[in-house]
Amino acid sequence: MDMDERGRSYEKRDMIADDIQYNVVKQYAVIQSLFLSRIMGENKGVENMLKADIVIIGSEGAGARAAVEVARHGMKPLLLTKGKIGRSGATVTAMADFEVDSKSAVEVLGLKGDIRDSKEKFFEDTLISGGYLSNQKMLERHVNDIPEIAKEMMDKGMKVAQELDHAAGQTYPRSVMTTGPEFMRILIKMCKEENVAVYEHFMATDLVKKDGRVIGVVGLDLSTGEFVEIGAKAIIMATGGGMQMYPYSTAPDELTGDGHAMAFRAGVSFIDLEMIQFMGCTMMTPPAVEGQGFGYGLCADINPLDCWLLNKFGTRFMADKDPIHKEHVTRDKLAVGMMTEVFEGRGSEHGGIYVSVSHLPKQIVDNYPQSKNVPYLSKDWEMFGFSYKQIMEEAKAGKALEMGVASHFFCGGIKVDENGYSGIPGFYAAGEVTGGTEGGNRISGNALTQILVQGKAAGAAAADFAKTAGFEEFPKDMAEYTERVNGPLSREGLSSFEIRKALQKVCWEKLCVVRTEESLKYVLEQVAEFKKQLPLVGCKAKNKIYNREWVDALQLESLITLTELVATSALQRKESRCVHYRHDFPDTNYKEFTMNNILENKSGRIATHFEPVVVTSIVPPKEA
Amino acid sequence: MDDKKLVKVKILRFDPTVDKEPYYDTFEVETQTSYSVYNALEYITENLDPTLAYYASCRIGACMGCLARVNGKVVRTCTTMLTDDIVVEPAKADNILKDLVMKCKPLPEDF
Repeated sequence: MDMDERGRSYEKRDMIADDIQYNVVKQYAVIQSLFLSRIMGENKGVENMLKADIVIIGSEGAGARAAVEVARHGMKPLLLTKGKIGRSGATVTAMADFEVDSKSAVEVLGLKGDIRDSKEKFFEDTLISGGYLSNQKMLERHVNDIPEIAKEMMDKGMKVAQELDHAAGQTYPRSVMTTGPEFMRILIKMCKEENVAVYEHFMATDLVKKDGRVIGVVGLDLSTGEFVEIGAKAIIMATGGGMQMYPYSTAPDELTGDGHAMAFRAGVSFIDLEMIQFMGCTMMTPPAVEGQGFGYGLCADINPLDCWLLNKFGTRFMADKDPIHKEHVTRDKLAVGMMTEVFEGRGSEHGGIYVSVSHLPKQIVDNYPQSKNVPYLSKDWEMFGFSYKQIMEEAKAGKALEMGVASHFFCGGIKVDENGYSGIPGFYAAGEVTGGTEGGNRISGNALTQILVQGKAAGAAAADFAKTAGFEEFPKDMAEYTERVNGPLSREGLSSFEIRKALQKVCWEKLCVVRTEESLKYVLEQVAEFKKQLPLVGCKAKNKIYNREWVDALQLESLITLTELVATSALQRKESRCVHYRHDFPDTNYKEFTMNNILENKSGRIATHFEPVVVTSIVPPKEA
Repeated sequence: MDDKKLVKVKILRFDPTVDKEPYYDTFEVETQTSYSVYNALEYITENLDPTLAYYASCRIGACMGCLARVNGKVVRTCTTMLTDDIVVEPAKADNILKDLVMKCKPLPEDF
């Protein structure tokens, strides 16, 4: 795939239509008939229940790769997705590269790279970029497992650029360039080959446990509006990050932290959850392009235009903060630089900063999208089907663009080991919902590597567990679970849309890039208020089929739980490191805080402590 | 288009558990420069009629989840700007789960 083709392949999604919903209709019919027989009959026994050996919650990169591995280990997987496979989740939105050490890229994948590179060097770069917080056992798998996993996908037809790109933070070129949709096309093809069943429009709401072990999942079938129970020998959580805590996000609408909330209720621990990566220079306005990364490409990514970032007084603040690199710093520094201006009262009208190109001769701006070095942009300023032509015309004429930050990636998450095991029998997790791989920051391209490696690892480990585990009968009394699902629909009351927006506003203002003890305590006070409102949330819409208001109300509970977890975690880390910036503790405290920040569920309350990082080969430094 | 402007968004509605036939609802929405059909659907659901069903995910033009027929043509609602009165229908009329949400089937051939 050459770079031009890559930029345009988003327009060619129709080619994968047949692949996408390959056997959903068939599987869906089976599930529905099973489901009907379940609710029509009285028998709640294991025999009659809807079940699969391994139930995977989340159908995209991590989940799909896990499902393939489960099937290859002789176990039957079932993929659940709130949306549609290949048409939801963060994977398809990846811009997209995945990282492989350059030497393996040459020797295993046959690409053009630099053979001076090594897995050890890739390991080291990722570890340093993540502030030494990575679990090094997980990181070893990350660098060791990816070449073969990628090779298989390329053998199955994944189109990639022949030459590696060089992302910031990587010593050598390691970025294998493809697109999110192309990446998913191959994973869906692999799922199809393994006859993986997919249950779309299913929103999981709780894991069910018995004697300390996870025995299944319950949730809402959005197509029918019915509460559904699904038994499993093990589950794999692959629901992605919770970026919708924030009003501005590069991530899809459905990433609301349902997996985090379910996992917390099931008693799982979290690691370094305060580490949320924001993309800088994202669009704040107009509405159609809110949160989009156009500005990041324009101002900061590989081959940016020489834009000036200005505060409301017209000061080019990045030049003050970093006279050498100015605007061209790493993602974390860019976001902190921008949002410090906002935090200290020098932001733009909408709570961002201004971007100016009017110091540049007009033909330089006009020629920019013509360059081969900016494959995402059409020659006429179009990106992913959105036209930025008018915006750029206005910018050339002297109007500043308004840009902010947008939530982009959860570096922390569910605490698992290198096999995706959470410590609770039957509970595995993979992908962005987990923490530990990236530590405190993520280098461009490491997300897709992470989801593949973890998906495969968790799939294998869960399948092995399932070989000696059986199905268990669900409790007779499921009221706790059904109430969570059916409560909002059965009530009249407060609007979840309004409360969600209020919550997002609190997170934006107080739990965003720049944090203080005061701001974080404020978030927790507000969370307590939102928790009181939650049982009063009711739906005006009473239809059972595909009721968005109902889904929003269920997602609101996830978001409230997630916000409490993130704010609590951020409060504990009294230092600034990687993407976590404390205005009251602006320096990195290597001596005390090169530790993992752990949250546990103690009888429904959050307990916190720090743990030493898992080290295999590189001992973190005790000072800068 | 620089100024804000009121437009009519006419949407095909159908809940197979209640309705015998599909019908159309019309909503008045204030649009502006770079305001998408997706923005309008979200606005309607959150402010005018929460029973409206549509499917969307990434809203950045990548996932192809938000396909619908706008003025007769199947498009991504997130990359289609709302500049005038429009008619929004499901991408494929014989496969409706509810309103604009489709049951699982391949994409229409004309896309």
